[in-house]
Amino acid sequence: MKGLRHKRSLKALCLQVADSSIVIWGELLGFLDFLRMLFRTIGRTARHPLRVKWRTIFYYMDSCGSDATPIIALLGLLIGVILAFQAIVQLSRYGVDNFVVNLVGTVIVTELAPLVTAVVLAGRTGSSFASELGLMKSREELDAMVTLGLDVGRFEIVPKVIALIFVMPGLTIISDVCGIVGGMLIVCSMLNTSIAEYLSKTFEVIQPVDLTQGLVKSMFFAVIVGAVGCWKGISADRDAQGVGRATTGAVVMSIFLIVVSDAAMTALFSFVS
Amino acid sequence: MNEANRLKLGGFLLISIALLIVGFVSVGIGKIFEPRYKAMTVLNTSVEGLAVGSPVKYLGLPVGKITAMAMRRKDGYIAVYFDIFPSAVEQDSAFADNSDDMNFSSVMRKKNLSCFINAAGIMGGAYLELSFNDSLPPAMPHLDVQPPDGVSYVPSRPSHIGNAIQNISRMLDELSKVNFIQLSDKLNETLDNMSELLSKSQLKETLDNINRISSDLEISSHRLETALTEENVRKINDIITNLDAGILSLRKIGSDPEVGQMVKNLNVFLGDAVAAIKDVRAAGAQVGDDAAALRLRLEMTLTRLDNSLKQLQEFTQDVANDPNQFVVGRQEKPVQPSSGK
Repeated sequence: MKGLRHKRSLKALCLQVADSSIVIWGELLGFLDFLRMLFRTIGRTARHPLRVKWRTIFYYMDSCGSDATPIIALLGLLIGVILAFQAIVQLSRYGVDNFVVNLVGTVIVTELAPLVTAVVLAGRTGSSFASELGLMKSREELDAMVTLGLDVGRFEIVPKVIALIFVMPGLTIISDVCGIVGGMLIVCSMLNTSIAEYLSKTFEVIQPVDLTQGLVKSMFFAVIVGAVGCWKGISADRDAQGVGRATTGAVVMSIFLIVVSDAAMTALFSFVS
Repeated sequence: MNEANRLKLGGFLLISIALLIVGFVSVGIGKIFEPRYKAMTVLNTSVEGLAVGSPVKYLGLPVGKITAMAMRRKDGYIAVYFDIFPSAVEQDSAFADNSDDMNFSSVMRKKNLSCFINAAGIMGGAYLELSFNDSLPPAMPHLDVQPPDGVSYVPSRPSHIGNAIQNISRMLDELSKVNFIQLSDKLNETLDNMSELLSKSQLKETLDNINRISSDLEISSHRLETALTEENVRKINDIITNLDAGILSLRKIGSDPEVGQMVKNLNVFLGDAVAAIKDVRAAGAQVGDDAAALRLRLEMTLTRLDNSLKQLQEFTQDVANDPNQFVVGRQEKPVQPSSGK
């Protein structure tokens, strides 16, 4: 009896894995198809810039960029504080606590600031895009636009993605500055370092290529957050629960893809440099 | 759809763009666009720790970066190419041609620059150090180097690390010539002699004496410390001060003529007293002699008297024993010879 139950559970596991793989594969193909449509629309928009919905873009830049600045600045500051503190605790054991400045500056600019900014925006903006488009789909507004011959991508999706691409580097640099300031607070108070010394060491260790790396990553993350949020929205079910699932799925998938792409880009930049 | 808040959006964009510009300028984006002096050197030592991107320093001042490293096919040495930033070289208005290449080349020629590898910290890194070619000769003075166009050649010299390694090798060679077995035998012998010497009782006694003396000295110094306390020193100072005052007042008194006369009289009196004491001593000696003679005569007299009394006592006894001895004479026994017992 035990053996039979074991066989059944094993069979059920195999079936579950197969079903999940099929679902994931289907989602991946759907997302790739969406990306193809998105880049094609962006290309068409770039060829005809006067046809771009700039008012919509500015609206989303305001709501996704300037409204998110306080939270991004605060998180950047706290990340800098935490990183500096932990670095001092660990590095002082080996007597190399004078390298804390190097660690804080480099890690924040190349990794943490773009990553944290992207994750916050995935939760804040990606979910908002997904819910907005999911609601529009459930109320058949998207169908109405298609019926009227309007390109949903040009009117609804591309402005969102472009707005994110524009604001993400700005938010990242704000996060960089606040992270460095947070690190400075801890380093100057715990290691009796002057502010001038901290800043000069930071600017000495951060290279232009590090800053560029962080900003390029942020733009990729902006595409991921915007694309995933919009795709989840337009592929949501036409009910309230479907909108809820789309919102949650957008956040989870965005964060997953952000981390995976961050790893890939870090490896690529290391290889190139 | 709501309109964007233009003020907020404008402020956000301005701040972001400003921070981007300041950030790139702070980390030195300008260095990417400035022209570089290109130079190269050839090293015949290990370049462990040196990598593309390692700094090039002149007397500790970062002046450039290493751009390429490769092995030369001709001789197997390592060719190291590096860039030097013009901002590291001060522009000199004394030069007629103030181009960057002339300035740097003139610096190189004037200072007779050479380079070597130096260690950077404890993490195994290294950097290329440019310095004067002082007493140390170049590492490869006869090396044939044809640098590419636009690239200056800086000869290399042995590095401090290389020198240290050479010195260590030399020391090891010298050490290998030492006969350690003989040395250890001699050392053992010396140690045996020393232990024998140290175990001698005389030495022990001497050491004990020395210990005793040192402990006595310690006690004495401690007592002296205790005696010469601040209070005692103050008292001694007071006594000396009083003595000084007394002597001063005595001197004042001594300058008085009456006192002088008195002192003279005292001196005379003391002289007379000494003479009198001498006379008394002489008289006393004479008296002593007379007393001794008198005593002797007295003793002799008493002895005669004693003898007389004894004789009288004997006569009286004889008469008591034999009253007829007046008529018949004293009856004395004849002297008998001793039996020899």
